[in-house]
Amino acid sequence: MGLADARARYPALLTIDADPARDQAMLERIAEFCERYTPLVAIDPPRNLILDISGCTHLFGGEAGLRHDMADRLHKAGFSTRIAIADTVGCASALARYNRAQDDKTFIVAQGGERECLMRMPVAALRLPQETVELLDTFGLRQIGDLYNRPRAPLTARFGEDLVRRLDQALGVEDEPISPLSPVQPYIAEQRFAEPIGREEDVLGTIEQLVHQLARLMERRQEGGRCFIADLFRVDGAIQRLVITTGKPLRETAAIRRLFTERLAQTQGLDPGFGYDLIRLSAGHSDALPDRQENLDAAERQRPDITSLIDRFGVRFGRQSTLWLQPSNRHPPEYAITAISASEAGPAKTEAFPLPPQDSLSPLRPIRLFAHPEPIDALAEVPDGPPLRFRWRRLIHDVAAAEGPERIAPEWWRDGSVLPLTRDYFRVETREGARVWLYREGLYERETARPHWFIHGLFA
Amino acid sequence: MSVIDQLRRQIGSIDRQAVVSKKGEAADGEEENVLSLAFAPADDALGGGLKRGALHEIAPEKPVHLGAATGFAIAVAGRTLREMHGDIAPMVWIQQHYAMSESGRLYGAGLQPLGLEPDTLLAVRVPKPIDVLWAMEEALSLGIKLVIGEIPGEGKEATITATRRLSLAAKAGGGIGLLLRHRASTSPSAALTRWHIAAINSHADRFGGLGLPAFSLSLVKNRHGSCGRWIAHWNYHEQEFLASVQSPDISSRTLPRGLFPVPRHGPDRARQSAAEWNEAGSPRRHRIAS
Repeated sequence: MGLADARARYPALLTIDADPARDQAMLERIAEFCERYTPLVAIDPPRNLILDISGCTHLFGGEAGLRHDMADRLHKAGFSTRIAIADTVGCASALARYNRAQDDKTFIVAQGGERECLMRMPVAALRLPQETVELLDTFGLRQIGDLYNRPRAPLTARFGEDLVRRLDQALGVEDEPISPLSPVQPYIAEQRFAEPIGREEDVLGTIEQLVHQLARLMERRQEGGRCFIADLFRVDGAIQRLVITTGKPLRETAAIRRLFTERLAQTQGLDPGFGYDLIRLSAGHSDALPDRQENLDAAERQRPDITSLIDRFGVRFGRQSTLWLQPSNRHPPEYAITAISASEAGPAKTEAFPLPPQDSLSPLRPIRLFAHPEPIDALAEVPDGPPLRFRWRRLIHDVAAAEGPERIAPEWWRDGSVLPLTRDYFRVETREGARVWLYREGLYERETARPHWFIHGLFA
Repeated sequence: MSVIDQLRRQIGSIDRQAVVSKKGEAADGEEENVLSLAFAPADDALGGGLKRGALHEIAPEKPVHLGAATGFAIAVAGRTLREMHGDIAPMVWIQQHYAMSESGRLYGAGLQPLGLEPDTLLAVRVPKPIDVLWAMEEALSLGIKLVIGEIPGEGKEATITATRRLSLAAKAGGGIGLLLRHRASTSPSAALTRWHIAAINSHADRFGGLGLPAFSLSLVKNRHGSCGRWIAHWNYHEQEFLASVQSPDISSRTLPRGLFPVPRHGPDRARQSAAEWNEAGSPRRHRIAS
């Protein structure tokens, strides 16, 4: 019936606009909350969650205990839930949605009991499209049990492959993998607390212990992790996640703890609310990290560990903050030298850096380069004389000596709406002694009627 | 000779050996503890060179001389690199984002003539000036041999407390910390030495172009020695500073000219006059009307 009819029948009806996006967001938050039971949580819109709890139930006192705990917490959060546990996704989802009985025990299906359990359920419980359900109804197949002993080929021919596939998945004949919300990392360790904790030192101390546990596992496999994720589960259901990534694989406890301290300092600390009752640490992106023989000779000076410095700067300022200078293939000066993040690569060889032939006593390239050349007013002989005087940042500088021009042509092979002009660079020394790199943009009369002057860099 | 005298002599010889070995260690220690600038007048005032395990400050005399101050810092870095003798460890240069856009970032192609190889320099870019100080402290306490941090603007973040922390970190790690200010400041600081650098006119070469880069190095504060002001020229062949260089005085320089002759008139007239020159083979003579 329509909304108008419903309102007519029952005037005090409460109506709220549907908001599917917010519903989905809420479902995702509930899924995150459920990650405390198992890391494999999948969303089945619009209102269902699928958890793979193989191997997790002993922490909660069995399947009944887990079910009770989950229902209890979600009820306290204000949701009414129907939770079913079975061997297959199909059976559990059918039970959760279509089970009419009130008894809790019927919601948990023993191993091998799917066939029995599904026999009396309506066909719609198999997650089939509406047309297939109606078609089955016209043929008189209303319960799942009716499909059990039918020959396969006619069913496939009449109703499509979906029907037979769903039936097989529900009965456990065919596997149905779920796609979890967040990828599962190869190394996971967790710590539950009877009393929720909230102090930063306690949290960091717990993380350190968990790192220690993972380090032992990783050491056995001679691996190190490059990405460490600490999930802090609050008692009221919210989750805080701290992620650190490193350049090289790590399994050293002190270093990882320091990186987490940096990350906490950067995110303005923890927000424990009423406390955390579960902390889970996962390590991913693992790479080989064989053991290293430490040198027993005490007289040898230890080389400073630049990789730990790069990691810490990376956590605090971002991966692109710590860079090695790199030469590039382009010749315009502002593009000739680029930089690459130090956590991704090592330094480039010195020989690769462009070095124009030194035909002067003074260096040919400046040591400071402006990213955006600053416009200046310069007085120079036309068409291509060096500047005699220029004004930069409201100060007038007289030129004592100049060397140049060094012509740097534009990259004509690059597409651009405005073709950049040829530059004539001059190395200029002012009367006070300061040495700067100026250029005139555009050749007089060949490219532009009024060339402009810019300052691009400072020399030593 | 009595037994006591013999024993005295033995003890005396052991003592002397101890003293000699101590002196030897002290001599080595001194060599290790200072970084020589390879510039004799400054090294003498510094007592051998810049002390390691300490913080030093460099600033330009006027803001326009920032290039010269940076050049001096790079020269120090180049000297550090040479003293490493093969066991090359990276050095760290820390810049702040806004300072980079205002005064330019470090340009890799210009480092080699001043003695620094770009593959030994780790460039760090931080958002705030206070982060420069934090990053310097981290790098120094880790033991990096040379850490250079640029403090932009007035430099009020580098207070005496901050510089003392940096000195302690440098002492713990054993490296040299260089605080490169963008403006000369007289505020108190815990740095061992303070330099004000300016660029001065270089001596022109034979063709009237720029000569060897010349600097005026003023040591305005030196806790363990005397101050002074020296003129130094950078010789990139030997990668060292020279005290003096032969060349003419700059006041005799004519107006600057490029390397190519420039016509006095516009380009069209230039072509015309060039054509005339070629035709006639010599300047035009005036015809006398007859």
